[in-house]
Amino acid sequence: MTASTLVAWEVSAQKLAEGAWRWLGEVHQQFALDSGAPIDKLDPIRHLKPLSELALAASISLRETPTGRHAARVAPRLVEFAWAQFGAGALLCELQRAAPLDTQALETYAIFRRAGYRHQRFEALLAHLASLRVSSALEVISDRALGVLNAERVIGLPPRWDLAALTARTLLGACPEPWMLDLDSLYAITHTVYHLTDWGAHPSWLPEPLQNYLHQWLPVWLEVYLEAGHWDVVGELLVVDLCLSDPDCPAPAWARLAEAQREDGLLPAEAWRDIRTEKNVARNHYHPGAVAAVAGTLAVARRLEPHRQ
Amino acid sequence: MSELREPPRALYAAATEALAGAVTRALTRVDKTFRLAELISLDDPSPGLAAVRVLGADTLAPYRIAKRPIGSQDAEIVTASLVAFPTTDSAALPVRLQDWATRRLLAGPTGRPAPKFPAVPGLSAGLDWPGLAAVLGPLAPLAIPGLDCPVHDMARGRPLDLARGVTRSLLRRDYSTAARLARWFAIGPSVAAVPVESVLTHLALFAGDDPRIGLDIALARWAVRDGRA
Repeated sequence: MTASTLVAWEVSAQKLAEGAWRWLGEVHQQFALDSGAPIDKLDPIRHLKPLSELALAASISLRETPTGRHAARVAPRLVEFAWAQFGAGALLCELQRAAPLDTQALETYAIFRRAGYRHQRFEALLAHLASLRVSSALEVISDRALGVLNAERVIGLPPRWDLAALTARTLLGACPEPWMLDLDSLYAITHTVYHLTDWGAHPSWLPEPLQNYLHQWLPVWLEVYLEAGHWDVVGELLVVDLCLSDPDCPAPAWARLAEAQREDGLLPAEAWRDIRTEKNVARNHYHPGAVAAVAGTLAVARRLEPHRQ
Repeated sequence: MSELREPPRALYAAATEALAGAVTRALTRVDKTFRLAELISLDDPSPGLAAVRVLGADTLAPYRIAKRPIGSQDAEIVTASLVAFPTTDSAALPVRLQDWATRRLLAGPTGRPAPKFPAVPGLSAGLDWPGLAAVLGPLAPLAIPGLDCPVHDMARGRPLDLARGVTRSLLRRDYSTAARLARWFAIGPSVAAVPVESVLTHLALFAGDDPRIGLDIALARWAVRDGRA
């Protein structure tokens, strides 16, 4: 046993979360949108995705109660900041009107609903779209479709697809040969778990065969990506573990991730990155930052509530 | 010219690969005529004996699978390999156990008593799955059906952990370790998410051109058939 595994996993997790929240508190302003920019100049990946994901992390922190003084200070500010960037919902309305079939605004809105924000006109727009036959006929990849279903549930819209049938059609639903999964397919699996459990709020909503499958193979994927120093996916896999009814909480993996975090709270996406020479540090590493914040936050929450259903 | 005194590694490696290929062909065709003496001459023995020493008990697998006795000339070649490259008491565990396996398979035909399994304290005590893979990978030459010993018991008792080891090696594309662990996985109970036949076919198609890996795959397939029989 190495010295690092002697550190209790929850100590590593709390340290990771607090560092991540502190860092996100420092850098989140860099994701502000250009005020007055026309919506066709807003790039979904470059501009909107970081804001949604920061808000998502913050909404989970608010749901779970903060993990320490930085989370308590940063999470409410972060979700308020992101809501303001989305024009308190007005920008979501505009985006939906510009692309009526797109589900991104719906999924983003669910994050803010979880945090207690509402926009009546956008909800009316979503209800109208949900009533159209086209909504359930959309061709959407299965793990993304689960995200849509979860968003509809959070918002209170009727589900447009059958959850069980959709789950069976996902990659995870097939219990695929674990040696065949590359990085992209692992990310697909992690998101299937997040959407089915609403980010760890309801572990028992993940069907038991899938929980058993994950208990068997998560340790292997963790080992492979710890060795590769791919901290972003390691964090995501640890979140998956925390979405299970009976998480394994692997202490060595938690310790390694906490050790990879820099003094200022930045968690590099990958071990081999040279942060000193990078120009857009916040943009390049906000994702592992948000993942670390969610992972550590859920870890502390599950430590306090191990038998959550 | 000091390098001339070094063992000719490339020559040994080539001889080992050639012998692995010959043993694989014998196994896959269940060649009832396989004879070491046709491949290795005691008159010019060095690389050939080294190859026999490296492959150890696996060299004798064609006899076991065809259920025929080892010919006296072939037994003599294997014995000569043990003499030419003796094992010291300080040798690493895989070397000592491979030595035991070779002597054990030789014991019958040569009339010598079967050697006792070496004392290996705490072989599996407290090993996690990566630790188990690290121990069992190098011990793959013992994973011969019927060569019952404490290592077989250990492997049979940890199917999921072996499947994890195989899975990790495949994900790392470390096919030689995957094939070695697959031999152990093949002698034990199955694991639903990792069908051993799929693993072996995958290995054969992705890495089977390597003669050593090809031999491990052939031996694992034999173990699967033996387990079903």
